[in-house]
Amino acid sequence: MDKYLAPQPINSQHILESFDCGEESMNAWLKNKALNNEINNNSRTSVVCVENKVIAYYSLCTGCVYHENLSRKFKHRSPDRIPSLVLGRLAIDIEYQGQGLSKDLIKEIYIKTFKLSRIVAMKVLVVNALNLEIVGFYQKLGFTPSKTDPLLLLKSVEQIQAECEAAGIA
Amino acid sequence: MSNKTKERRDKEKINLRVDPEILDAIDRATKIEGKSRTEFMTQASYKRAEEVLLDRKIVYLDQVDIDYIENPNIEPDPVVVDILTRESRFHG
Repeated sequence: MDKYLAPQPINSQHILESFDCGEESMNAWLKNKALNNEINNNSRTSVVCVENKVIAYYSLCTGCVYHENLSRKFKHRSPDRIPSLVLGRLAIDIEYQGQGLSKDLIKEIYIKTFKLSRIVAMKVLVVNALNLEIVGFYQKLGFTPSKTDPLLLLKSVEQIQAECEAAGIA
Repeated sequence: MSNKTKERRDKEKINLRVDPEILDAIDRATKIEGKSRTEFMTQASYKRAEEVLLDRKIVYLDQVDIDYIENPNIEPDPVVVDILTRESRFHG
């Protein structure tokens, strides 16, 4: 089994040009946006590399869930806004797909969420999916599709905490 | 994570009213890229749509999803526990 250095924060030394996950928008975002977002504190991107060449990445930032039925007027002042962690993007280079790297990445994301949730209150991990096939992919990794928006997936942070404890993660 | 088994749906037709200047620019760019107008317009707007969808940080959810978040099932999901206990390819 090939081993890789655990995901690292993206920096200007990483080679991004050759990255190809098969989804052009995901490639373009890594090449054009990820580093700027990192510098500006808009998102945090972690990359898996082989000799500094990025072969997989994911990005996280905080977000917010509102109750749809509250009137627009109250939405932005509502005490009912729910803090969330957003997995905006996760992609693996075509050459490295099919080896179970996605499970390793999701494991890492669950553990990060668990540890972060001790420092910053958050109730739900939200995933943005591009299409229903990707929704199916995340469902197999423990996420629940939103009933409001079929391209969103949810995972309760409280359940992640219980799962990490059950797995013996401190 | 693309192609494979996707449910086949019929193509939909859309009608647009466009300013002539904008259409001129689109057609000129279309020619340069050697695409059809339909190809060019759908590809460009789809690309933007993907960005917008993946950039969402604030979401509005119905009661049923709010209930899932507020009163979650806290029984560990065996699938997730399995993912958490499996040997990872990552080191360091």
